[in-house]
Amino acid sequence: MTKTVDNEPVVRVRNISKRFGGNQAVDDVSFDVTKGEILGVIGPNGCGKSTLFNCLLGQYRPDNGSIELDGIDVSDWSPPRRAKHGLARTFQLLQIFETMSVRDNLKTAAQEHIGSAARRLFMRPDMGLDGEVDDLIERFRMAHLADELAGNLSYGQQKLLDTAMALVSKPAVAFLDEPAGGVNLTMLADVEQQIRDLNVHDGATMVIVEHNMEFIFALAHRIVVMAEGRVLMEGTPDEVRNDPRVVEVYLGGH
Amino acid sequence: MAESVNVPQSKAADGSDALDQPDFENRRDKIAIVDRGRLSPSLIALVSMLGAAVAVMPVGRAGFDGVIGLWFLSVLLLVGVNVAVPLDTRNGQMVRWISTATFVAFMMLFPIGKSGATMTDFGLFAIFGAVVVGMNLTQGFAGQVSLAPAAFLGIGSYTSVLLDMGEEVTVAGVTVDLPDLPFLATIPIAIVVCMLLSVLIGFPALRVRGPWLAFVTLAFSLLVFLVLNNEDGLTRGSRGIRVLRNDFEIFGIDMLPTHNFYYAGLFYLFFSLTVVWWIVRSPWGRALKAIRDNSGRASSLGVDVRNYTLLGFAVGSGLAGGAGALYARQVEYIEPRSYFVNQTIDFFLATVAGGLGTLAGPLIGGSLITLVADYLRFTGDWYRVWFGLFVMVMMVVAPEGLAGSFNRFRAWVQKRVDS
Repeated sequence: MTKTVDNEPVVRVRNISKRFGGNQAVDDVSFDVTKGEILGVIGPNGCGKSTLFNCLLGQYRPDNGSIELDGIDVSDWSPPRRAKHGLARTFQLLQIFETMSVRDNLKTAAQEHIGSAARRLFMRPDMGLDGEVDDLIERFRMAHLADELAGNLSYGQQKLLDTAMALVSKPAVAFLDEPAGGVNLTMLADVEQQIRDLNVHDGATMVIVEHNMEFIFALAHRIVVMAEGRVLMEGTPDEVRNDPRVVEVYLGGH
Repeated sequence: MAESVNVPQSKAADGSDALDQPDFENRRDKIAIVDRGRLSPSLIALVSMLGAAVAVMPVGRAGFDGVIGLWFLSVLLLVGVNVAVPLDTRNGQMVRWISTATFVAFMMLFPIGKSGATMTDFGLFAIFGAVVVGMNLTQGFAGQVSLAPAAFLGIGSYTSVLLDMGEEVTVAGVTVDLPDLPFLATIPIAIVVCMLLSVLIGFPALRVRGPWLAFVTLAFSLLVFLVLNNEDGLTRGSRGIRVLRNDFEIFGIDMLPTHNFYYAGLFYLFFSLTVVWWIVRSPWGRALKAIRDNSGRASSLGVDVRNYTLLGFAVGSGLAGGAGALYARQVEYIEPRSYFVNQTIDFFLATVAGGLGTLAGPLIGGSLITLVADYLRFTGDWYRVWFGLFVMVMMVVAPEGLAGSFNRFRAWVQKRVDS
């Protein structure tokens, strides 16, 4: 796989901090996301990765700092507004619409990006999304499950669906929180394959939080290592692998 | 180089823990109890049957004549067919439309040979049915509890009646000459007034997810009652207003006699059902369902949770307002007491007992609080006790309401037939 990317930053994260009571969960975190890259975010449990995501996507309001999308400061935007402008995400815990079919899950994920709310009221229920959605279902090898209720799928399939939902609207950047978490070995290769496919063929830009090192080192172009809410280092997978500070953090030197 | 990160390698990656994954393959199948915004003909047929049963029940009210008997049998047949035929097939589609047509025809032809008293009941059923249809949009589809439908019914009634009288009113020392608009023109005004008011009170209440809308609408109901009761110069207070029905003609037909006025209510009921059906089958319906399923996820995918729930609440309130305009003409006398919170409780019970999140549920619920309630009058004030008990038992054994139970029954029968 070629790991070449443009140098155009699409998302700029600057000085994000978030404190819960006496716990400084995220401390002055800054990084850029370049168009077309996969950026890995790693770090031990409780180092603030998920809190960072929640700050970037609007679920939490950070105490400090800003996030820019294509040069526009979106720090004050609501989560749906950020989503409509191209910041998609998944959550650490699986979040799908269990009582809806796989197809409807994906349509829900795609529909708010089309037309205004008033126009959507008078659009056909499928909104012309059928082709696009079926195409994605096909690529994720879930064609036989398209009309199945999402709640009836296996955990691995649900995890895939969750990831697909973040990507169906072709977001500027997709923030994926542990796409491989809890996925068994056979499915794991599948998830990795789909993510790489979307990046290489569709140019999808992704920020991925992951605990599975093999998985993230194989996928990411660049990796940000976090520890105790701060960015410890940033670099290519090789640089990160060989950095003594990273080893120290993971061996519990603190 | 790889050994430096050996420690953090996740357990799943080295395979040792892969077998400890919980067995998610054997999850219990989930049944989608809420019908997904589809017109469920069997339920509508069930309503027809209920209506027919109510019509033939008491001796001396309508009488059991051949026509009713025929209706009864055909509706019974339709229910049977509905239970047996899966809706997603072509035959199912046909059954769907035939049942709907049967229901419409039944409601249209029902007044023939009926007494004025029966038609008053059915007129009230149509009007209150529309309120419950609106409440079901707010509660069943948008997932927010509004405790103000009776208040909006009242606002609709007073708005419509006051704009129809052409009299002087005094509010806060200012005397205003109100116009004498035709009755039909006051209905959309009542709807719009209620929608605007509901946006006004819903906007702050829906800022955060939670039961806040219920609290705010409850306070609003009490406030509306106080205003209606005390603003003597505007509403004539507790003395109420005798409503003059003097200007309601459509295509030269006088709509005021009880039999004809029933059609006005019926048309409004169909209108409400169409509005809700339209919203639920449009992409909005999918967004509303997603919000009920998992609002956090919906929001992260671009679904503006607040706007969608607010609109669901506003449309539901608007439908109650328009129903209020008709209600005032149906009962010919309006007073603040008719719009107190206890009326809301009736609507609430009807919505829940009928079946939240279904299209036919409100019709069943509406018939419970008007038609069935009328036959429980002999119990005096006890009827609310019986009705309340009934709903409590239902909440325990069938929380999805009568319509939901029926859907479940149909699913059960079809599973039996399949295997």
